[in-house]
Amino acid sequence: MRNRHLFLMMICLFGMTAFGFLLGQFEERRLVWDDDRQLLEELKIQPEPLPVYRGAEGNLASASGIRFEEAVGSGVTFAYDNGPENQYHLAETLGGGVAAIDFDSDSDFDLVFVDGGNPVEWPSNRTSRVSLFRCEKELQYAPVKNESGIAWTGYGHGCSVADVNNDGFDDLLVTGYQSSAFYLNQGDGTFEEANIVKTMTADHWCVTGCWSDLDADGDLDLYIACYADTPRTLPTPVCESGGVRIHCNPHSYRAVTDLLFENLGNGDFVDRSDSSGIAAYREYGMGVVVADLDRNGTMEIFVANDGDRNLLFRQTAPWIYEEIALTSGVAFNGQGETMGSMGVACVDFDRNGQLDLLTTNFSHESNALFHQVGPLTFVDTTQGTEIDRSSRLRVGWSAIPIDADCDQYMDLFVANGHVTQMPSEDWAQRSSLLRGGPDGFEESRNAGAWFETAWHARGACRVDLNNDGRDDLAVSLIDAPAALLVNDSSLSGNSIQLRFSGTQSCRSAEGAIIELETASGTTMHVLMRNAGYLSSNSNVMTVGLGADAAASVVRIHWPSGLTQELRNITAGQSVNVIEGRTENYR
Amino acid sequence: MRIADTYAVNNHPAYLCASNNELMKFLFLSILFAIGGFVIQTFRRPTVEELEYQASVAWNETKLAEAEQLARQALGRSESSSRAKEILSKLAGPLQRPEIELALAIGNQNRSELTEAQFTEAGRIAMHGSLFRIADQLFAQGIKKYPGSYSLQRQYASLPGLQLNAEEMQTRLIQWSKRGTLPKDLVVMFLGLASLDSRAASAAEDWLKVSLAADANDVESRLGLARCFLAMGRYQECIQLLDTHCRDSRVAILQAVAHATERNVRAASKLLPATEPTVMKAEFWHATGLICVEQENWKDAEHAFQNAVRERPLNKLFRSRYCEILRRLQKNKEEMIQAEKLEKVIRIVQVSINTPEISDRASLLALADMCSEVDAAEAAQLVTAVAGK
Repeated sequence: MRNRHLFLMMICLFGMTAFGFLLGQFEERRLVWDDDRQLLEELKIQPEPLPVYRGAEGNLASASGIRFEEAVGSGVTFAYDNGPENQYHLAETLGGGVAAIDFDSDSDFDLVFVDGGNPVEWPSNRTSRVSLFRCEKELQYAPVKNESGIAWTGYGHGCSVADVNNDGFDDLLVTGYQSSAFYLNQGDGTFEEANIVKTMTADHWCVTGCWSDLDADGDLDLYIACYADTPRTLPTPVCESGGVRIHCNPHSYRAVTDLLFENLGNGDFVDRSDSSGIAAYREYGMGVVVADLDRNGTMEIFVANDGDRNLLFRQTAPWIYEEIALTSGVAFNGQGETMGSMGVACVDFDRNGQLDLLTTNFSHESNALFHQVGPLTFVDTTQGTEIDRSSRLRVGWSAIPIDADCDQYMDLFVANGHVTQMPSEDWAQRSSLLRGGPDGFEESRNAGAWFETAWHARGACRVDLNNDGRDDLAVSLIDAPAALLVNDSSLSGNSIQLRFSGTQSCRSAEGAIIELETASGTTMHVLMRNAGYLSSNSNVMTVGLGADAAASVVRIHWPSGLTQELRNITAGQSVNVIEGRTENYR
Repeated sequence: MRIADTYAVNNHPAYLCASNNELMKFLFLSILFAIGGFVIQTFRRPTVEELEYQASVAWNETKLAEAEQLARQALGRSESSSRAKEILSKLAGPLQRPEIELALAIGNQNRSELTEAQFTEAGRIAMHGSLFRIADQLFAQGIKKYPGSYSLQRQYASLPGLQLNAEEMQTRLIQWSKRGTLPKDLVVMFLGLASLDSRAASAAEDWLKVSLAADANDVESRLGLARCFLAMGRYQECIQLLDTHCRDSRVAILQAVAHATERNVRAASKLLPATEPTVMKAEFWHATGLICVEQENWKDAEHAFQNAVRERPLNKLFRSRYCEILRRLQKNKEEMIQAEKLEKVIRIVQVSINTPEISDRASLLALADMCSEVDAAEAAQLVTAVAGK
């Protein structure tokens, strides 16, 4: 019994000793200096985790129905070489274009790509920077070597295809850094260089050339957007972002004026840059479109500039232009900001019977869709739309309007890729495919495997590669083989294809406006070979009819001023329309 | 022994008496042991120097939590322990606890007793640590006590800039201009801020997120981040960020702007006050204008954007929207005037970003003239004040 008491006492004493120790510890804790915590309590400061931003990826709509599959084993092996690494020359950022051209007149579209190389070193043994691929059979191409007669060795960007001398054969303008060239198609699958353009462009940095009949005299004149005055020497200025060396923006260099040439129709051109008023503006020119935007019978010129206000020229007298971008609402975006604009597309997106303009822009700016709401009155309607969301974090280049599902609403392909390897942004970027509809655009989630990969995409053009009556795409990529994207859209509507031959107008009918009436409504289209950034579309116009079996009226407004109507063109037809002739070739 | 026997023994008087004595002894011993334990614990505590040393070792071994505890113990023992303060100061960064550094700057002093240098330093630390509310409070208190302090005025005026609040920054700069000479860089910063674009906004996103993560009740930082999202076109994030129970009317107005930009007229209309509020008037009119545009009510949209421009003449967005409406209404003459003003505003912003362009008095006066030409009288006044006589 006594032992038991003793045991209990021992336990209690041990407990009390422990209590004493703990009291000592408590005193130690009480001494801890905690003014900082009091400070936070004063203001009820609480940390809070913020939601993680998922960028445009988080907002992808589930648009389905339009998709493209990359053609495998086509034989098109071209990859744009923009120059050696770590050189940081500005020319390396622009990339190259692609053009659909039937250079051998076999009715199949061939493809031409323009290459770069090293912008500062042009050795004498340099190979041609123009790659021509002949269509052998459906989706099969073979490179055309020296026999084409094209041996241009400059640092290239753009390829503008048009029948400049009205002989029925596609000619080729190659624009580039401090060197450009113009090749006349001989009609036998070969080209011959016409030195006139080389002389006129001298050592200008020419980006996009755009052929159009500006004086309605039946031949194609030429507007060239020019970029900057950059020396072809090293070292070039190198900028830094987040401790990483990057290409500088164009503002590190002096902007240059654009060029405007009148085609005299006899093989000669006259430089109208100064006398027309164009040369009064010095911006960093990139994409160009020429179209009769206000349908008054004269062509307007819209130039997308990189990091500066865009330009819109209206003709006030023959070969005299007035710049009206500011009051037309296309100089800046809707937020009143200058944009780093690259490419431009011109089409009636909202089906109000007036041509709209879309510029692809630098990252953090979003592409800008300017709806024409009245003659030469534009409103930027991009903010808060899918175009805004899908383009905010990407740098856009070619913008190709394409009715992929032939539902009469224009869809939109945008080639994306950053100019330089910035630490906070993706260098390679996924291109975008947006499906148009009555309520605007939705980005397609199921666009095809090619769209799942990030590329350095630049120039692109629209062409029916497999002759299935639907437009496909060819895309030029930096440091990767070009992509031929074949239209694989489901739920496709009906379509017709139209080819135009001008007689009073220029033979290529560039700029003709076509109104199409079907049972479900009217659509308007413009024949525009120039694809807005470094590239050229095919001259075949594919027009969607949706569920309608025929176009009751096809009304053509030729550049000459003549209006011509075709009636009851049923779906699935391919029609050759000749200006002023009642019979058509189907 | 049976249970009953045991009971009998335990209740025997002799047993109870002996048991009481033993209990007393036991209690006495217990207390003695407890005191002993306490004394031993107290005496075996390491000294301040030992704690400082151990904290240093823990810091060197990157045992940050242990280092903090030891340094705090040392400081608890001796408030003058400079070594402990140094270690805590070093720890504030890696632990992402700016309040530690702040507390070190203020110590246990009453705020009213702080010197000008202490206010400045403490405010700077709070600002650097993204504790903007504390910084703002310290600067405001400091200016009250030391109204002539250049450094306090400067920090106080620049703080709303960090929160992308051009309106407040202008107010503070004007107040300051009445008492002293304004620094050029702050006025230029304000000019750029008055017309926030996406690129400038993206630069602010990080620090505003850090600030809000540290202090969720900081309404100004929340509004700043919302402005940032709006400028970057991230409207859903803006709406989500402002979707709080906060009763600040500015939160509702900014959320209405985001909804209106996303063309959600119903949600925007619900949030907007029926009449012009006393705060964020420009944003109120901007949201109203956007709603009118969606309803194709061009006349009221014109009125709304005109008011937005009047409230914030240096804002490119409001001016651009106003021009668009005038174009739609085919008011060509007025549109031409406004378009030219928009171009001037864009020029003002470009100049304010490219500060070498405003290197002398003449260029500042030219900038002030441009501000006057776009009806930004207060901005013109500020730039003129910087140019001096």
